[in-house]
Amino acid sequence: MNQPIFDRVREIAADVLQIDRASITPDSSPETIESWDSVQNLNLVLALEEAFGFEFAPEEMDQMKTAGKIADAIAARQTA
Amino acid sequence: MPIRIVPYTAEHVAAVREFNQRLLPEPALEEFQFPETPDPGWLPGMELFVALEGNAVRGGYMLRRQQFSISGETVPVCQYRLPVSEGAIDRVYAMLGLRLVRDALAREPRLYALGMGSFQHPLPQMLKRLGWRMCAVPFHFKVVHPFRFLREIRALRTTPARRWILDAAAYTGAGWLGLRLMGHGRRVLRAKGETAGSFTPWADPVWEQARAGYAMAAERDSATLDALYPPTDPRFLRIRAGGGWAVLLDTAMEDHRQFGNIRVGTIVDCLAPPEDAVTVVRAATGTLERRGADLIVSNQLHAAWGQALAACGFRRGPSNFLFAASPALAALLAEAGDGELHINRGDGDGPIHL
Repeated sequence: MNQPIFDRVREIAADVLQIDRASITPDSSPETIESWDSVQNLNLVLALEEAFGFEFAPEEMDQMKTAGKIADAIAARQTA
Repeated sequence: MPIRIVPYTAEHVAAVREFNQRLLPEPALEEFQFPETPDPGWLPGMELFVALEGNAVRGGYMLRRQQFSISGETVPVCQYRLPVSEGAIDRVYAMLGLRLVRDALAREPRLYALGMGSFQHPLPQMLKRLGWRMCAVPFHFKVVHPFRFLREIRALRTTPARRWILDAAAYTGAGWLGLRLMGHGRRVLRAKGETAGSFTPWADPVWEQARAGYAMAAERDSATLDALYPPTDPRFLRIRAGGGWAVLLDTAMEDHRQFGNIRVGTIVDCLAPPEDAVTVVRAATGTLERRGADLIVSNQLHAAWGQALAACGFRRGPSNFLFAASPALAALLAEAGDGELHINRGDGDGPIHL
């Protein structure tokens, strides 16, 4: 996992989900964080797209089940 | 496993049925059952899509292809209809709602959604966040028979104290007086229109003449109207007046959760050059009053129709009937205010729940 990208994801997720960034681990997901519901998930995806400057493809969104997987998808896009 | 969004075919029916069963225990999703046939046959131009994970259905949506008149030009537009996702009951699928709307936008960038219940519901919140133009289509109502309205209107009779106040208002005449002071007593019994059994062919010149008066209106030629309001369906009353027409419903409610047992008249749909709106509304209202409606309701976005309703004694109430236009559709409407768009209960799903 790309640590700088994960740190940026964690920062954005903490802001969107209104939680302490330290509580977000690579395994954090909508199932483990109460405030990560479908509306906040949308807000998170759109905030990440704004921050990194691209729109996620459908197959990337399929993979984005945890904070760590989100960072992996962004890292893969940046090296592509 | 990756999720694919594909056209709904007969081979998916069993999986759709299982999907509906998984949603059913959630009371808020009772009305969000996906059709258990790929050809529900409700309205022309419908296309259905399902989100598949392996052989399991995890969601779906519908597009209804229509022609709109936008600033006088004919433009293809789609209604984005009944998007439903397993994300509503299982957060593993939280991404699916966004995937569904993006899939629909890829098929047709000019989308609209209508109804949706409330700005607080997840779908309008998502569409607003995605930059869709949003507004509520104003709700207009006229109480024709105050006593029956006050005694029956369950939407207001929600607590013992409210029921006591409404009963007191009904039996003392205070409710009648109050509603009359608000303008509800102004009857237009003598205003009449000509009834019609179908729209063919006389509605075509009305459409051609009226469309230029609206920044946006869904096509309302005779073929479209006879498909929406079939001549064989006795529920629909077609009234011609001035240079236009209206479609009415006159429904005797029975133990309705909002209306109780009153008779509700609805001005479902209408069209005329905007300057003729008041003539059409007077004829429609007079027709429903003569038939014995206790309450008459209508949702109308265009300012001319709102003013016509006000002139006939209607007042505005809170509206949860929302209109949303995708960014590509909103760009075509950039010069137009909400009050220049002709949207009513004849649009979208048509006159359901009435």
